[in-house]
Formats: sequence, C-alpha cells, structure tokens
Amino acid sequence: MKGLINWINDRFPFREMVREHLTEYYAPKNFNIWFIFGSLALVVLGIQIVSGIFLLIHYQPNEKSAFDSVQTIMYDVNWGWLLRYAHTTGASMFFIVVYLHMFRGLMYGSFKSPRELVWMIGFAIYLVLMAEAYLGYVLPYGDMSYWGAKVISSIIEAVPLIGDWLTSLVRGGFGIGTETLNRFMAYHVVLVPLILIALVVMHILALHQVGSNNPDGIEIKAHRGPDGIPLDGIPFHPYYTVKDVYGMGVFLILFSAVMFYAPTVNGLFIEHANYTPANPLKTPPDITPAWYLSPYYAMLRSIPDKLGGIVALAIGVLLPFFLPWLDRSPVKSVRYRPVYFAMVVILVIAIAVLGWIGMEPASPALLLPGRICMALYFLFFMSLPVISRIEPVRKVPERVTS
Amino acid sequence: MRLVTLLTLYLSVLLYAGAGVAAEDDGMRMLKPHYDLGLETLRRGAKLFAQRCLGCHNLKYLRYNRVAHDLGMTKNEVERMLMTPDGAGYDNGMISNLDANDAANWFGTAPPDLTLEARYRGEDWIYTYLKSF
Repeated sequence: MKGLINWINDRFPFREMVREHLTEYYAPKNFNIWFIFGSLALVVLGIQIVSGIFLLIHYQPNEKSAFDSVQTIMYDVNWGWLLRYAHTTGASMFFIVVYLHMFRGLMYGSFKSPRELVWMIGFAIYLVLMAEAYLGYVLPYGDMSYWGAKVISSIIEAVPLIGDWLTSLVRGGFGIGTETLNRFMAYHVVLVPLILIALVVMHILALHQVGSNNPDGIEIKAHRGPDGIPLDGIPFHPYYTVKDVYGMGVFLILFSAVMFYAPTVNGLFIEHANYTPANPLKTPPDITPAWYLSPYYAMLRSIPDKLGGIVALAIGVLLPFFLPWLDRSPVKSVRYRPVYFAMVVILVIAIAVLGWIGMEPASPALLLPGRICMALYFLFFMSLPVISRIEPVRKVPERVTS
Repeated sequence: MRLVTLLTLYLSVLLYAGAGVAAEDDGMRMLKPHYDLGLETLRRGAKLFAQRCLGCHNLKYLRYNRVAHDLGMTKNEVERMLMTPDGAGYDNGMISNLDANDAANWFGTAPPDLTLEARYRGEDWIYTYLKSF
C-alpha cells in the first residue's frame, strides 16, 4: 500500500495537494458557526450533481412529454420521488447555504483586501447559480415553469435594437416550447455546471492563497511562530474537517426532514402552480419567482417602467460585487464597527421584506413598502464609501479572541 | 405518501364531512376538512372515487397496483372495487372510459386529470368544492 502511494506521489502531486489544502493549511482557530456554510455548499453541490444525473436519465426535454416524464419519475421510477425531492430540496438549500455564506462574508469583511478576488469569484458563483436554478425550474414544464420562462426571458426584450432577435435566440423560437426545453436542458446539465465547478475550484484556490478570514477580521499571518506557522492558526485537517463533518451531520438531518416530510414547504420549495402542466393559453393570475429570487423581482416591480425596472434589477443584483471597493474602512469585522453593524441589520431586514413582497401578488398597497426597502438596499451600498471613511470604530485586538 | 395525499384529498373528504373551519383565500371562504388518514378511510375513498369520479376524471399517473400496494388491498379487491372502467388493467394507470375528445365536445372542455389536483389547488379547495358542489 505504501509502495503504491509512493508510486503515485512520484507521478502526481497528491501528497503536496493534501498538505497544501488540508493538513498544512492553517485556518484561524476562532472560527464560529458562520464558517460552516462554505463546506455545506460543497455538500449540496455534490447532492445536486448525483441526483441530477439520475433525473436526467428519466427526463424527456419535449413540450409534450416533459411534464409526464417528471411525473413518471415521481410515480413509477424506483426511488424516483427521492431523487427529485433531493434535487428540489437541494436547489433551495443551495441558496439558503449560499446566502448565509455571503452574509458571513458581509459581516466579517471577508470581501476586503486581500480577499477581493475570493469575493468576486464567489459572487460569480452566485450569479451562475441563479442562472442554473432558473434553467432547472423551467425543465419540469409545469404551468409556472412555462410562465416563468416566458416572463424572465422577455426581460431580454428590453435590450435596445436587438432585443427581439436576442429573445428568440435564447428561447429557440418566438415562444417557449420543445426547442426551449432542449437548449435549457443543455445549459442546465452541461454548460452551467461546468462553469460552476470551475468557479468553485477557483474560489477555493484563491481562498487558500490568501488564507481564511475570521470573526475578528484580523490577519493571522501577521503573527507567526519561529516555524513560520501562524500562531493563531490550526491545521484544517483534522480540526476543521471534524467540525465540518459534524456540521454536515446536522445539516443533513435538516435536509432530510424537509425532503421526507415537507418537500414542497407549502409551496415555497415546489410551487403549487407547478403541479399542473404548462398551459400557454391561460396566464396564471400571479407569476412570481421562487423565493430565492423574489427580492430582485420585488425591485423589478417597484419601477413602473420595463427598461427602468430591469436596470434597477441589474444594478441591485450586481451591487454587492463591488463591495471590496465600496467599503473603505481598514477594519474588517462587524464586531468593531457599530455603525456598519446597524447598516447590515437594516440591509438584511430590507432584503427580507423585499423577498416577501416579491412572492406576494402585485398590489398597490405593497408598492410603497417595496420602494422604501429598495431605497434602503441601494442606500447601503451608496453610502458605504462615505460612512466607512468617517464611522467610529472600536479598537481591534492584535490577536484573535476566543 | 403519494397515496395519502392523493386519495385522502379526493375521496375521503366525501365521507368525512367534519365541521368546517373557515379560512380566507382570494376572498373566498375555504372550508377545512377534518378526517383521519386511516387506511380504512382511504380504501372507502378509493372505492367511492372509482364508482363516481372515475366516470369522467383520470388518475393517469397512479396505477391500480400502486393503490393495491399502498392501501394494503389484494389484487382481487382492487379488481372488484376499483377497476370500474372497461378494459382497466391492473398494472395500468386509472383511466376513465370517457374519451377526452368526446368530453370536449359534450362539456366544452375535457375533465382534467386529478392525480395532482390536491397538490395544485390544496386540500381545502377540494373539500370546499365538493361540499359546495
């Protein structure tokens, strides 16, 4: 066995990779629960890929048989219901985990120097994930799949001059149909996952290049022992692999509880309106996106102009990407920035309210609250360059606190 | 589990007309069904569905053998009580004898397949619909 490992290591840098990324990757010793969601996102990615492979075996990307093939998976394929529920639960869980992961970065300043690229690659992952979720949502070809596909792809019509041409290029025709399903399946199964996996690898490599942040937002590399190892660092393996495996156990219990006992989560993870086949002749009364996109949808609806709404939507989606430059404070962690703390709290409340509004039927009563929350959302990013320069900060400790 | 949702919602509500609790939904008052999910209830509901609803409505994704398995019925019982349409096969979906084209001509629209109705509209809706039929 040892001989075999040596034989491999002479020809492939397996030992070096394990050292660099696990046994000799030194992570700050003061990680808290917020630092679990990165590895959980990796777990969900694995669940999605495995369940997705099996779903693909039984799925038919055809407007006449797509809905039936999904129901065949649910009723006739052995363990098919489990595969599909794993995939639908995984889709929403992916966003829950990624949102918590991003919130951690926002709290502890993980987007700031030297981790700008970690944040930017991570944000690209989030954008790609939204595309992946949208494409996958269309495939079962339920009524909301159809109308969601129609509404979201009609956003492209707002592109000046070539809008109509571009829309029919994306749809594979003037409407949504078999051609749309064919290409959406190709994107959902091949193109987007490949990009996603490549970005995930880059995200981790970039992180390991600069080292992990921590709840105090201070650099552990600033204080090294005589052996060059950060004094406040502990090897990722075994210390954080154990922590992550424990977290994974807790997470999988929650995941299973949803998957086995409430896979639709009362229309939140699988919408009621998607339990009827696509009907191009009858527009449903309310077309709302899945919960993880609804804050942006609320922004879109807050602006009474198609192009204006789409511009607001695009800016709203892309603003967090620029956080490394918007935030000018030398202090990273929210622990030592009381004003920033208050801003983050307001931001989270604004996003939550927008998310709720986005899932409600459009109504004039919700227009004003939606606009206020949207203004708060934009104000967070717009005011950050100024406030981060003048805000009072608490004294940041030299070494990490326990 | 599928059966529990499906049959309970469709069928047993007919028999177990409990005291309705009102709930608001789109300005319409919805009744809330009260029934237990016992196998006996489901079996009676399945039988009732087969004798009445199956005259026009399909449960095309649900096979008779699945019903037999999930409700603990024998093949003989299923053949006798549930397989009411002519030419119904034990291993096939529950398909009505009513031809969809004929139905569309006679009623203006074909009766919808009801396999997923409970998940589409919810149990309260079905209960309210049946009670106010």
